[in-house]
Amino acid sequence: VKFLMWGVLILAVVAWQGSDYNFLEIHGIRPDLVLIVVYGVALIQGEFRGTLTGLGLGLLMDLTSVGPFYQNFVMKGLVGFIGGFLGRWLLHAGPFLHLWVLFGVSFFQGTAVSLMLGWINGASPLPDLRDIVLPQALYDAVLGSLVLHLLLFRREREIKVGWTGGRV
Amino acid sequence: MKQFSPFFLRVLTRKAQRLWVVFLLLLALLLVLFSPEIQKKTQVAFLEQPVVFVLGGVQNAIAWVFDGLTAPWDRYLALVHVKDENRRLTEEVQRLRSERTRLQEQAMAGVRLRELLEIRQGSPVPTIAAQVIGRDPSNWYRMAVLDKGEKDGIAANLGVISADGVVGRVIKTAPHFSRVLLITDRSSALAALVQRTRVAGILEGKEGGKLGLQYIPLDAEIAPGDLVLTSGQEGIFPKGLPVGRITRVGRKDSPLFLDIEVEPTVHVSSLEEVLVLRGTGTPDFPETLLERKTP
Repeated sequence: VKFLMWGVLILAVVAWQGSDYNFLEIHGIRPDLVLIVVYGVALIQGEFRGTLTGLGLGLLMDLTSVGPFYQNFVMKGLVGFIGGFLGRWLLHAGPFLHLWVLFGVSFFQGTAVSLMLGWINGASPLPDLRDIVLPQALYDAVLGSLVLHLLLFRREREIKVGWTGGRV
Repeated sequence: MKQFSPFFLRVLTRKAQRLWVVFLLLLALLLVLFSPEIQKKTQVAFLEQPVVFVLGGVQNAIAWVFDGLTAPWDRYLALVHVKDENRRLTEEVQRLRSERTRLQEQAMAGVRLRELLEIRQGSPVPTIAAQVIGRDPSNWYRMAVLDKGEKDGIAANLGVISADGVVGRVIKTAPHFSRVLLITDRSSALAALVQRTRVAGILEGKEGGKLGLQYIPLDAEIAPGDLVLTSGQEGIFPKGLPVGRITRVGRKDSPLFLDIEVEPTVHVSSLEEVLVLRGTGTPDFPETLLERKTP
C-alpha cells in the first residue's frame, strides 16, 4: 500500500507538472516539481532508490515532452544520486543547503539543454540563460528548499527524539 | 386724581378685567410665536429659543435614560442569534461568489464556443473540436495536449486553429489524446505571407513566445502592424488564416533578408478550446472569417 501511495503521488506530480492547471507558473516559467520530488525522495531513501526514482520519473517526463533529448532521464537520475548522498552523509542538511543544491542542479540542467538547443538551432544560448534557465533555477531552489524544509523538519525532529530519548 | 381707563374696561368687573388682560397677553404671545412661521423664517425665533433649549434638554435627558435602559437589550440580549446569522450570511456570500464565478466562467466559455462554432460553420474544411488539457512539462518546448485522438479522427500533421488564428500542428497521436506542436516552438515552421503586400516567407518560432518571418528580401515592403496569414504552401493549413501581426522590422546579420518579428494572434499560453482541421491547403480559408478577430 505504501509503494502504491508513493506511486500515485509521484505520478500525480508528473501529471500536474504538465497540466493546464499548474497554478505555480509565473510568467511562463513553471517550477520543476519532479526535480524537487526526486531530491526529497533521495534525501530520505538514499542514493540507490533516489537514483532509480530520478531515472524513472525523468524518463516519464521525457516521454511526455516533445523535446529531442532525454535530458530529464539523465539529470533527474543525477539529482537522485546527489540527494541520496547528502541525505546519508549530512545529519542536518538545512534549507540553505537544499537551496544551493537545487539551484545548482537546475541551473546545470538548464544550461545543458540551452547549449544543446543552441547548437541545433544555431542560436545564441544567452537569451535562454537569462529568460528561462536562471528564473527557473531560482524558482526551483526557493520553492524546493521551502517545501523540503517543511516536510523534512518533522522527520529530523523525530530522528532527534529517537536518538536522545525525548530530549531535544 | 381721576384714573384713566378705556370704556370697555370700565363696564367690566375687576375679575373680568384681569381675564381680559391675561387673554390679550396670551394673544400677543401667540402672535409673536407664530410670526416666524408666517414669515417662513428658517431660524428659531428669539422667544422660542429658551423654550427649545429647555425642551430639547429634557428630551435629550429622556432619550439618554431610555437608551441606557434599552441598550443592553439591543446590543446583547437581542444579538444572541447574530453570530449564527453572521456565519450563515458569510456562507451565503461565499456560495454566491462561487456561483457568480462559475456563471462568469460559463458565459466566457459560451462566447468562446460560439466564436469557434461560427468558424467551424464557415470553414471550408471539416473540423474537430477539442480541448487543451496539458502542456509540455518543461519550459523549453511549446506543446499542448488535446483531449481528442485517433479514435476521434485526428492524425499527425493536421492543422490546429482557434478563434484567434493558427495554433499549431498535430505531431503525435494516441487513441484518445494528441500532441500539438505550437507555432511558438522553436522547431515550428510554416509558410506564410503578408496580407497587405502578399510577400511570402517562412514563419518560425522564436524564444519568448514570438515568431520570426524569415527569408523576406531587404527591399520588400513590410511595415509593423501588417497582418501575416498562412499561405497554404506547406500543405497543412488552408491559405488565409491569420497567424500574427508584425511588431518589428529591421536588419540583423543577414545581407539578404530582413529581420522581422511577429506577435502571434493566438495567446498560446491561455488556450482552452481549439479546432483541428481535417483537411489541407485547398480550398482557401475565407480571410474575413478570422480577420475580424485579430488584434
